Amino acid sequence: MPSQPRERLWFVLPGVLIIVLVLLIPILAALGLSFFSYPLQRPDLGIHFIGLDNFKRLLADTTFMNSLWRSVQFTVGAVASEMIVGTILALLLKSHVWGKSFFKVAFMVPMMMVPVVVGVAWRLFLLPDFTPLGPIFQFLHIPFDTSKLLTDPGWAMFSVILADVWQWSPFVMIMMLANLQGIPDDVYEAAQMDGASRWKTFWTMTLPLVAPALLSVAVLRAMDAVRTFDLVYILTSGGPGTATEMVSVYNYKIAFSRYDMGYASAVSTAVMIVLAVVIFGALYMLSRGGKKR
Amino acid sequence: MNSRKLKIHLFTGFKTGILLLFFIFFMLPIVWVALTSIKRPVEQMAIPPIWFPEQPVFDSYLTLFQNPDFATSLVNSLLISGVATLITIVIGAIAAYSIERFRTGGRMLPNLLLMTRMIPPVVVIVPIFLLAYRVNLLDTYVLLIITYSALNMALIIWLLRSFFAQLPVEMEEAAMIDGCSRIGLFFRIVLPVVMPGIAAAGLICFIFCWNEFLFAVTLTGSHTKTMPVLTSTFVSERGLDRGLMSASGLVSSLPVIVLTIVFQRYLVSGLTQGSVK
Repeated sequence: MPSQPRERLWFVLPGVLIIVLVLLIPILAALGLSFFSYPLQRPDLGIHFIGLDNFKRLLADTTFMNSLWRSVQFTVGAVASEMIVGTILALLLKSHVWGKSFFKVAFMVPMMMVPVVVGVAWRLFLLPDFTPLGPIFQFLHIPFDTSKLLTDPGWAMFSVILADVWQWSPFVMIMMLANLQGIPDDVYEAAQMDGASRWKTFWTMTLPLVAPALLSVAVLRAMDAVRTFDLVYILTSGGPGTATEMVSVYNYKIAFSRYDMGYASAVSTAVMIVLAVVIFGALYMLSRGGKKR
Repeated sequence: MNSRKLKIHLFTGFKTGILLLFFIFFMLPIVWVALTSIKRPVEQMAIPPIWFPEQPVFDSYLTLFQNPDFATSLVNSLLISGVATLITIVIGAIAAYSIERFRTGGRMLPNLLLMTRMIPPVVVIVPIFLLAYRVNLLDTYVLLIITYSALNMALIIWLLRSFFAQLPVEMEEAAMIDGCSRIGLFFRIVLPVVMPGIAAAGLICFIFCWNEFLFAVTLTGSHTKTMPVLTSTFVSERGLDRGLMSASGLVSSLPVIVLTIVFQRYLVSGLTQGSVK
């Protein structure tokens, strides 16, 4: 072979370089900036080294802690619902139904839509007093005040989760469908021969077979859900009050409405640390789960 | 028809019915936006809300198309997403081939690449913004294009790697014996075979760039504003013009929806290849 190992590094260099430049260096910069005071709107104050002051402020910042907790609520709520809805859809589409390919394509549309537009669509759809759900609920005699959906703190979080489920359940569906199709038919034939019911086959055969895939799809989705920004920003922009202000939105607001760049970097650093702990914890558990099998 | 057959048909019908309910759930907000975009302002504001306009009007679309920012944003979105996709695919394909065929970087490199996918964009945006602000790169095409390439690079390399992995080495060896050079081999043998994979990766990359909002809203200005940013300005500025909001949302989603429907097969293969394995 003409190309030597050293020369081959040139092939991966551009790709690696661009990632280092745009992603890794900024992370280090954020880490460094978190020890500085850097109010962008007051250039007269300049940039000062203030040691751990930002982090001290952070630990006492209840808004930050609450936003972190809301991110957890959102992520758990959305990902769990998406896993259930997506898996049900995949199971239905795997079985014998009419209009299969039509449904498959139609269900993919929400997933590919611009997240900003998903926010716009749900905002218009749920606007208090103007939501078409009001008349529908009235017609069905469901006593529910639909104006709560964006104005009541608890229901607002529900609405944001609902919109996320609307957009991302199809992703789980596609992934699970690919996995279900990978299960050889003779597994099912054998089960049928043994006289196992459909219900029992699902719990004892299908579910254990796709469990590793379920887990990895859930991890993928959780990683995306934690950093959800566009959807929340457009749908509720964190409101009512701070009821749906997740850590991504809070971080953004500190940086780009208060222009407090030092403190924003401290928030970013804290988020990175929390995420790293969670991700490595999850990976550790995943690898241990893999060994047991 | 005997009763067993009837029972099977009933069950199929029942399952299809559930799917139909989901279909309604997935379509409802889109349909509502589409209907809002063709209502007169009075109808947009009606309480209780009305579903169907008495007479469809297209004023919202006309207002949108006449907005001087509309053409700019559309061209910007196409240009930025297109160039970023092209750069990502070319650089990514070479890197992916090298990683897959020569094990460049060993086992470490692909895993490190995957880790960069986990970085929350909000974390890197402050330093990128500050740097761009200092060197006067804000509101330029280059900035957004490079950022988008970096954001998608790891995913695209992983995706393409799994497509290259399906290519038998024997095929390449046979071509080498016939006197084909490395470069010639890559372009004449490897690329044509993995073209569907490249198309899938390109499609996904393009859609992700097209949809991106956070970096677009912070790093662009009036010259390089993209479609999602334009749509978002209608939400905040004139929150009451729901027709314009809807029209802009639909128009900016339309290309993505069309791509999804037409290239559904590629999308599915791309999405499932990259991550399940």
